[in-house]
Amino acid sequence: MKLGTLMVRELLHRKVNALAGILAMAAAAGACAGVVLLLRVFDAQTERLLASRRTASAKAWAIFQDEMRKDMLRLGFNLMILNREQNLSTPDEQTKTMPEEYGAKLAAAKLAEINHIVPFLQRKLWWPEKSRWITLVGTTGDAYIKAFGKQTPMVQAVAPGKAVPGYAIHKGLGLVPGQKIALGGWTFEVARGLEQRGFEEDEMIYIDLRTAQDMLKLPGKINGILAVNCVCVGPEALLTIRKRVEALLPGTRVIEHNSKLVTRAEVRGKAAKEADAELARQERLRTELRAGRVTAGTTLIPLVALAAAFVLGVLTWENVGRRRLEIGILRALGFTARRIQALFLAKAMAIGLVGAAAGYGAAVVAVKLWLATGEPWEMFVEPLLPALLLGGSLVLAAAASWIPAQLAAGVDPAMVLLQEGG
Amino acid sequence: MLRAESLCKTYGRGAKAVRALSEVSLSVDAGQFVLVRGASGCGKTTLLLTLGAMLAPDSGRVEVGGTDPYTLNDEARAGFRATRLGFVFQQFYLIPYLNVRENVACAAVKGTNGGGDGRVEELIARFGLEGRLEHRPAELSTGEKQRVALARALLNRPRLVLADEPTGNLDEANAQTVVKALKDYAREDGAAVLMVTHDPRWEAAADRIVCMEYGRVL
Repeated sequence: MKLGTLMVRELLHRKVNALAGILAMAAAAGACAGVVLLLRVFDAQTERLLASRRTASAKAWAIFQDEMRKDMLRLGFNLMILNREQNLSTPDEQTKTMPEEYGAKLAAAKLAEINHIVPFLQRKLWWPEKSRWITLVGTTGDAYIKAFGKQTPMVQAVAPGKAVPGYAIHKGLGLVPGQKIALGGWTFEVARGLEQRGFEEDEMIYIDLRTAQDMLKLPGKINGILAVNCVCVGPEALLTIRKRVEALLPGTRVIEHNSKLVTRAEVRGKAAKEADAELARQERLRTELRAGRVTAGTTLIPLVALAAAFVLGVLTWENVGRRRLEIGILRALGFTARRIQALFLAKAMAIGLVGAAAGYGAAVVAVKLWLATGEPWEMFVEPLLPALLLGGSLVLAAAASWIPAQLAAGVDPAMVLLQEGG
Repeated sequence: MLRAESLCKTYGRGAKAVRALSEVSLSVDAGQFVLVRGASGCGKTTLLLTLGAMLAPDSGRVEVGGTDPYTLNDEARAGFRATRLGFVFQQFYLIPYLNVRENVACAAVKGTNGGGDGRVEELIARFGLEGRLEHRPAELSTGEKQRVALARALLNRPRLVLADEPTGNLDEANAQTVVKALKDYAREDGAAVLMVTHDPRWEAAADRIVCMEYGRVL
């Protein structure tokens, strides 16, 4: 008689024993499958959520860049390039200098974002002849205009011997064009007066750069360079231009000068970075949550597998004890010990297979219908997981029933028949 | 067909030692129906199990058809039992979850004629079990059970049949049927049949009677 027939008949005969084994293996397989399927659902759902947030963030960033580009084209902004040692808390009280040729060097670099370059030598000083503080600015006017002929200079050059006072000075002193003024022992003719600007320029007097260098005994030196009405093609360029200028002109630093656009760019850039950071935080959170679930799963799976193996082992043990006489009869009829062992192993493995299939099916249906109604069936029904579960259940069942099967194979038919024959 | 020489078997050790077989020698030729008689506990079942290649003697030698089964390894001895020996027990020892046909066929061994040439059907017909093919042991009478056990024992055409009190649980008619079947098998198939019993009714049917007492053949 074939072992399979004998096994099936016995399985059907002792249904409770078989059913208990199947339930134990189904619970283990269901738990394993459940852990894996829930992880898949978690991955799919969180990935969708993050993807939608990434899309939203990318859209917001694109809108921001577009707005910034428009703003920059419309508004422009100013940079002031100073000696790195200059105290920035009082940027108007310039005391540190740099070589005058830095202006030419920056102009020669022809950076796309910079339209006008104005080197200057500036010093706040006491005007003894008029008993007041002023800011003396020596300038050559624009040393560089990107679109020469199409753009007008941002700062007009001042001819040697001429002076252009700010609004507060010429208004306060009643200076008029053509009037001679004495300044620190030098005499200048007022070329024109500046319009009211409403900031520190109203307290300035512009003169020729060479004259200023002579007056301040700083030949060949300037305090800084104004890069005026710069235009950037994107917020990244605005935020990185500093580094590029500082690399070009060693020993300098670049500050934004009277530029709302920079502030706006920085605020928006910060907001964008915060959005990115929040997205990254959510991705980290997802990774941590997933790791937690994986840890729980990798703890749970061996536990339920061990429990199922224990139950199946005990059931097989009990089955061997109950069938001791039957084993003795079969041995007397010529069944080898190996066939007896195979009979019990095959039964345990059949229980393992049926249990694993039932557990997998139950897990798929439960997860799909209970937690993931929106997910496609393809996520759950694929060959790898059931193949692993079925293979694993075979190995587990064989391992769990190995010792009882060995005991069955070791049953001495003579002893059994002697005892039973009494 | 069967030769046993100076078989000794002792259970336990020391003060608790029980000598079940003591220098037992006997032989049964092909075609002979031999009875082994003796009171309960005289060693009849031990002798049967020893002759049946299941219980190795402490000393002595058994030969069935010229082969000493105790020189074979466990697997070969199992094959030897399956192909050369047939067993009938007082308690029938049928497999409870197999029906009549399956109980008879479960002894079939590959490479022999057992079950492969209509032998199962032949034996079922011979023992009048045709109407009970799908019944399980629990649904059979004691006589039917013993007939199923007989059919199972004879399936592989064994050269030696060992029957341990096969009529012990049967009524007169069924007991007669079993004894006749065993005797016929010995005569018609040329097999050696050894039947252990304490019932004197069957002495007339036997070719030879061996009496046992306290583990010895008298």
